[in-house]
Amino acid sequence: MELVFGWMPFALLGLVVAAFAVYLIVSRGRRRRGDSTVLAAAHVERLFALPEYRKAYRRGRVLFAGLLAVSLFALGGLAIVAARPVTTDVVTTETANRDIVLCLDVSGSMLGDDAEVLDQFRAIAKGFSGERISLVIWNASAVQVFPLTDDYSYVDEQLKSVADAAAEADRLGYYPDPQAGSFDLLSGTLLGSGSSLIGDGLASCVLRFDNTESERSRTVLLATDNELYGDPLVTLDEASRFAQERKVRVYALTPSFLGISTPEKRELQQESEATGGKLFGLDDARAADEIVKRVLADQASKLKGTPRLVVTDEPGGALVVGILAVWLVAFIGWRMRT
Amino acid sequence: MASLLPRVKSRLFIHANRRTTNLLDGAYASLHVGRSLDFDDLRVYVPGDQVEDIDWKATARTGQPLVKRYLQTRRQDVLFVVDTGRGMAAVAEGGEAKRDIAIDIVGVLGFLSLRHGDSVGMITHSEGRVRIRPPKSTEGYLESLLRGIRDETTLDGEQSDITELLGHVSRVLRNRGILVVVADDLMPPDDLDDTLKALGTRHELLWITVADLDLISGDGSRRQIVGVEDDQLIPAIFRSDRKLRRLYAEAATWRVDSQRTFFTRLAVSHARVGRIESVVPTLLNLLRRRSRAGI
Repeated sequence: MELVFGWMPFALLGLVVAAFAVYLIVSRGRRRRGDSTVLAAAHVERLFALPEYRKAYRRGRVLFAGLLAVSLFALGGLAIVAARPVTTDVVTTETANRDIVLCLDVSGSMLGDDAEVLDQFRAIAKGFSGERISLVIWNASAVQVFPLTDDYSYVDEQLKSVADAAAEADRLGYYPDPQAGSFDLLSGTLLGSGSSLIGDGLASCVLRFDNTESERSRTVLLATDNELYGDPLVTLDEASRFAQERKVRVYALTPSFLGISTPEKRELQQESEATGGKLFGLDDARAADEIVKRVLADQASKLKGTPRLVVTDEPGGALVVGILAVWLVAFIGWRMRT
Repeated sequence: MASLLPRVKSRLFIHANRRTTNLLDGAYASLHVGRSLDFDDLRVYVPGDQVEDIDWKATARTGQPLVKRYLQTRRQDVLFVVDTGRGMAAVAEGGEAKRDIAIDIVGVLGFLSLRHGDSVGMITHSEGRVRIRPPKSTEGYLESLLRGIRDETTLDGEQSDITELLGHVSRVLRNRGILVVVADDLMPPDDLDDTLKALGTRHELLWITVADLDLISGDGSRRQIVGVEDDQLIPAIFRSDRKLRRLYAEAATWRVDSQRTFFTRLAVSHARVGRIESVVPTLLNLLRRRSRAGI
């Protein structure tokens, strides 16, 4: 705690002393019997001798002493406020520690499970604070729904709109018309040969990380059933190696309707574990918690901003005391007048 | 320097002209208890004349009321004993200086005396000694008496001591006369009793009290009140204290009552004046009371 205008209390003290001196000089001249601004009266001792006067006098003296004390508090408090008490801190802002790309397969085979996956994503996103999250949806080609961001309300809103579109598509049996306001799952996701090109999707997701030169924790949450139709540019194995090269962990989420021991799922498990990740079934109740825990356990490196000097005004207590005292001064003044 | 007497006279005549100037004479006659027996002449009755002065036989003969006029046997001395202490420089009940009220009292009674052929003198106490101005019968002299009151009564003057002054008067004043005391608003001290009794046997005694300012209400303005004794200020907060106001008013009423009781007991004509405009009515009232009841 330090004062910006340290001289202020002294200036105020000087002012008070000066005002008091002026008052003394003026009142000395005014309170004499010859002055035209006062009434000179004889036999004032007749009033002073009344017992009630002596009582009122004592009461008045107590009130006056109270007024003086409260005035001191008011002046002191306001002097401190006028001197601007501040605290200074050197603050280095830190932004997201970890980057997570949610990587969602929106092919026809996954359509029935996407809403559930997105719910899982939302649950996972809630477990983070400070981490940056991005959503990429892919089928034959990948589209970024939103880039890496730590605006969680925005993230949740986007995840929900995609989940609604997926649930609607699942209910209708075809992709809903984007004109009706729902999220367009088709736009940009069908630009390759075939559909559900897993390797391309994962590789695209791995490419979404920025600041590649800095040491950061990077995670891809890959939601797919690993049912490939068509010619991917990159196989899942190649994509997995690309992820390892970039030091990106891949956690896989897969629908577990037929269990997770099918060959496709075993491959998925193998590739995710190769990057240091793990495979989870969609019906695994602990999946969300587990993923959050694992991601947070990963050594985070911080994005450092430039150190800044932050000056915070803290009138707090002095202001409260000052204002209360001013009220009291007004109250006692009013009491003394009536 | 403005003359003081014309101001007093004009105030007197403004009051008297509502009836007639003779009223003043009729009233003034009451200063002397008893009449000379030397008949002078008859004149037409005017309101204010004493009913006992009406010559009923002459009235019956002429058909209009006539009053007898007597020749005055002797010129009387009217002696004003005026308190010119510091208390009289203070403000009176009505907001004017008590000194100005004293000037008016002496002016009115003095002027009536002169009109009647009497002489006026004054005794004051100033600068540590008793000052006697022997009776003379000119208006110029009366004016100088009034100026004497004005100049002697100052806020830095000494505190009044009317008892000592009256004691001095009773020791030195041998000739029978009319004594008019113009005094501060005081609680009659115990030792005043004997002095007044002694004076009352030899002189016609009138006592006029100049009333003090109400210390709570002031004069209606918001000005602060300072005691003339030692510049003590009456803090404004006490003047708005309702209970104190009531108790002070009770004490003031009690004071006025005991003043009246005191002077009634000693058979001294007494009046209380608090403001300039009530000087003339109060004095005439006092004179009329004297003519009817003798006090």
